[in-house]
Amino acid sequence: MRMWLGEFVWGATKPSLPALAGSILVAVALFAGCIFSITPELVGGAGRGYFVRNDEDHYAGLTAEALHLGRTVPNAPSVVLIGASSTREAFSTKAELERLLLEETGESFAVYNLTSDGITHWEVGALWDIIGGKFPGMIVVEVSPLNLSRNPADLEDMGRDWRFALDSPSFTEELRIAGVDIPERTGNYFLDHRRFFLARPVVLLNLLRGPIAIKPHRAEEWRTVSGAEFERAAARTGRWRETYRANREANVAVYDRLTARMTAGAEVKVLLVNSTRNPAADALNFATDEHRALLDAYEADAERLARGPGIDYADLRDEAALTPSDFVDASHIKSPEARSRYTRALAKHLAALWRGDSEPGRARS
Amino acid sequence: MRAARWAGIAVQAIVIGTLLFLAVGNLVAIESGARIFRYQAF
Repeated sequence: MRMWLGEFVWGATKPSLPALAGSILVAVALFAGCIFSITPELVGGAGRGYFVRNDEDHYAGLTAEALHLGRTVPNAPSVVLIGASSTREAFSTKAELERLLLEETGESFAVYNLTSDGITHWEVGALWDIIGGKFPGMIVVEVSPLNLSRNPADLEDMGRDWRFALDSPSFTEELRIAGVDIPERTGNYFLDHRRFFLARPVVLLNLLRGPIAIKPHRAEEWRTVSGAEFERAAARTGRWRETYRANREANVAVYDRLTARMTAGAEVKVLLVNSTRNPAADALNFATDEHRALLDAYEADAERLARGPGIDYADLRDEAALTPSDFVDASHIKSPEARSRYTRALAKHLAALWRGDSEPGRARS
Repeated sequence: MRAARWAGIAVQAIVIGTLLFLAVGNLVAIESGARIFRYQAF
């Protein structure tokens, strides 16, 4: 036995040609395993919850949720919520919205939450490439001053630093329209999204610790900001004023292309919702006539995005009676009561849209 | 005895091969600027 152990230790510790060849073979096999086994079907299926770094890795979580939804054929009509962090923090829970929709319409809906930090209208289009045509129901899409002021040239960085592991013809089309370089694709999911996966080597540990559920809200853990921090946050959210006039036309066109694709099948209705803003931040950002005029221009543009049948626009802030104390910073709600009010208002608009009571393009609050 | 030595070599190859895989992956990640995006509220 001792001799056997001695031979084993020799083989395990001494450098040798077979060990070198074996090491290279193992490394190559692992890479080949990634290339051939990491697929959208795995990430959105059996691997759901495994390809995320931690419970705050919203981009990876959203990637898996979208791929999952794209593979699912729901029995009930669905409501899919797509928006940035302000909508994520304003919305309460899927269960509450499902219950409210049942009360309002008498029908059961399955609610899917695809909100994520700073999601852009271009990325909403990419999500639609994955989930579109898979369900009848309604889709809620956030409209924000930030998205309507985005510089199309930003797409160059976004195309290179793609935050989601999703293949999207419409995103490629947006890159082409913006006239920026289109990253080369190999056609292999892992290779095309290698930066997404290589940035998350820690997901290997999930094989031991199990799948991770993404937290639906993050603002609970954010501390109350100081006066100076709040002013910085407000200034940051007000930065859109600098680029709005120059870029609004191109961004309205992006939303128009998006809603046209969403409603093309006539099985889906679209509710565009204005993003939430802290009234205290608005008081800082829109103190001058010039800035107030800019805000009015944005509100009018946002409302006009709801053109055509099956598309409605809602600004839920007044209806949800949001006050500065509901927010943790310039745009994120922290109060659970405010989230419930917001979700109740959202359910009313969705029910009206589903019944066909709402007029396209009309703000209802 | 040969089987014991080959078992040892296999263990060495698996450990070093896995580390090699992780190291090359990390190098490619650094070279390509792969990163997790974080949202900064303020």
